Amino acid sequence: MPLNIIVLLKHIYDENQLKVNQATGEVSFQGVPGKLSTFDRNSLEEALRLKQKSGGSVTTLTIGPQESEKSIREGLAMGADRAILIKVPNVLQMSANEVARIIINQLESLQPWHLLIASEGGADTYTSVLPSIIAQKTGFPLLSYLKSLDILEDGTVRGDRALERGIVTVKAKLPAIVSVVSEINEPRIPTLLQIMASTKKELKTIVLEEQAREDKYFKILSLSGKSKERKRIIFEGSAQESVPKLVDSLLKEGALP
Amino acid sequence: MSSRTSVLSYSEDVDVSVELQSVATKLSESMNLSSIAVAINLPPEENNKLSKMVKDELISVTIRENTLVTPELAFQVLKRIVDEKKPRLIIIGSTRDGKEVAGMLASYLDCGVATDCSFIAFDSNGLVIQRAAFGGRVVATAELIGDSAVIAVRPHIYHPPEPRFTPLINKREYQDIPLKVHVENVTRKITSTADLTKAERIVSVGRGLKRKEDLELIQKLAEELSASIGCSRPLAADLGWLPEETHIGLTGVQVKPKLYVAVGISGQLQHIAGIKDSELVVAINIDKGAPIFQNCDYGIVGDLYQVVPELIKTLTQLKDKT
Repeated sequence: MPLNIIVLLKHIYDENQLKVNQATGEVSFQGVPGKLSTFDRNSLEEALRLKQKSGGSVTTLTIGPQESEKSIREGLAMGADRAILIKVPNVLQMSANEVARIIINQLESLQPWHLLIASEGGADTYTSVLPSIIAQKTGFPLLSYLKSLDILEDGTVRGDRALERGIVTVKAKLPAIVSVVSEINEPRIPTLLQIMASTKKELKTIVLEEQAREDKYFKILSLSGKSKERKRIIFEGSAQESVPKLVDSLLKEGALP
Repeated sequence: MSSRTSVLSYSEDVDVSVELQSVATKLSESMNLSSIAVAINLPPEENNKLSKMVKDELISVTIRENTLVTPELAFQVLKRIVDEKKPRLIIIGSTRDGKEVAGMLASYLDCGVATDCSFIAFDSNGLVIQRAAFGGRVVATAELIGDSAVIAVRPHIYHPPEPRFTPLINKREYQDIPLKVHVENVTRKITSTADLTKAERIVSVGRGLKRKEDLELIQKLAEELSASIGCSRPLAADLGWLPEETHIGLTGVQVKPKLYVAVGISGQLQHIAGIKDSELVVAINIDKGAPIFQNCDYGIVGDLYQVVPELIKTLTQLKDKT
């Protein structure tokens, strides 16, 4: 059966390029480039594979500032059919409950959909509660942390949940919400042609009439990027040259048994 | 004046439940609240073990024998208990299941939620937590406002407490809880008893290792150093060459050994987040530009297949001399 799939995409600050003052630990976001949240590539890849098998459509849904368009275009280049951006300026200050509320409102207008795919967490906050909040508020079943996923003939979704203590195979009726771990697939890299074609695909931008509510329950008091200064003494050359130098240093440090 | 008078704790993993009692006891004492733990479908001996660590009340729920406690089921049970007890604070073990339960409870209660917390306290600011963000690059300190909150605490942060309590044991049976997600099969992993969080020395291996058989080489080095073995996420989660408990990093375990030797690990932020409290970090990697060299004390740029055998040889000779 053809599947209408919705994939949640998030545009985040590139965590590898955050500016941290080593002396004070102060973190600055100024001029830090944005990127598509790493794990979201896996959610989109899984949606595209399902669509290849069953037909249907893949719509990406993003809540964030205008700059999110960069990440959304990447999603379209990977193969999403269309994209929706719900513009809010302050997504980092919003609670997961609030983000869920906006997504749920949007789900109404995307009927009929069969599967909502989220990732294991945002590469920025990694709170990982959004899928469960959407599931609790809507009553749709949630299959979380899947490392494999199939749609069966009888209109159910089945998948293997990758948990700390083992694998649990679960099944539920569509429409359903799933979250996938990054091991589920290897995301495709779009070709230049696909990147160019993506600019012609539909990106619908929605500006909320009411201001999105800031989180009244969660207040960040401080962010610290302080990390231990390492010595960074690097030995090069052949193993016969470098290994004795390393062992010598470890002896002096008293680090050997 | 709030009528919320308890701290409620739950994890589907009894070992984590036990750890949670350390923090539940401390928080409930500092705020003059009672501490209530919830156990669902625990075997009697585990129930008994947990009970000795719970300060005030253990609600021991039985569903049906051999029913796996899924997050959906745990939420349905906890919802009933939360309606009745109206806790000031709910503490959940921040496992994957636990985070799902935490999200559902926070949604149900429309309250603040924080997952993967490494610190939690009531202080002059109120209820304060710490958690990593941005791939572990940043530690966020935050306050949870409101008259209730859900906090998921990272496993292995708190030590299990001494058994010293005789709480009220409240046994219950819940039946006919309607579920939408059905369990078809469960494959339990054999969990190793080695706890990397307490290891003094760790040899850790990453994608630089070409074949599973080559783990033997790493094993030998670990023996020479009397070290435990760890790995980066791909080796455990993608390739399955090593058990998940040995996966070190933001989404795995966070370690603090005296000596950490990273072999063939490039050193992405998420991995560094798991080793930042190590005293001394040594890196062996073929790529001079690998980020691990920015985050180590000593490093060797070279092919691990040449460096590691040489290192084993040198360490053996050293032992023979002494």
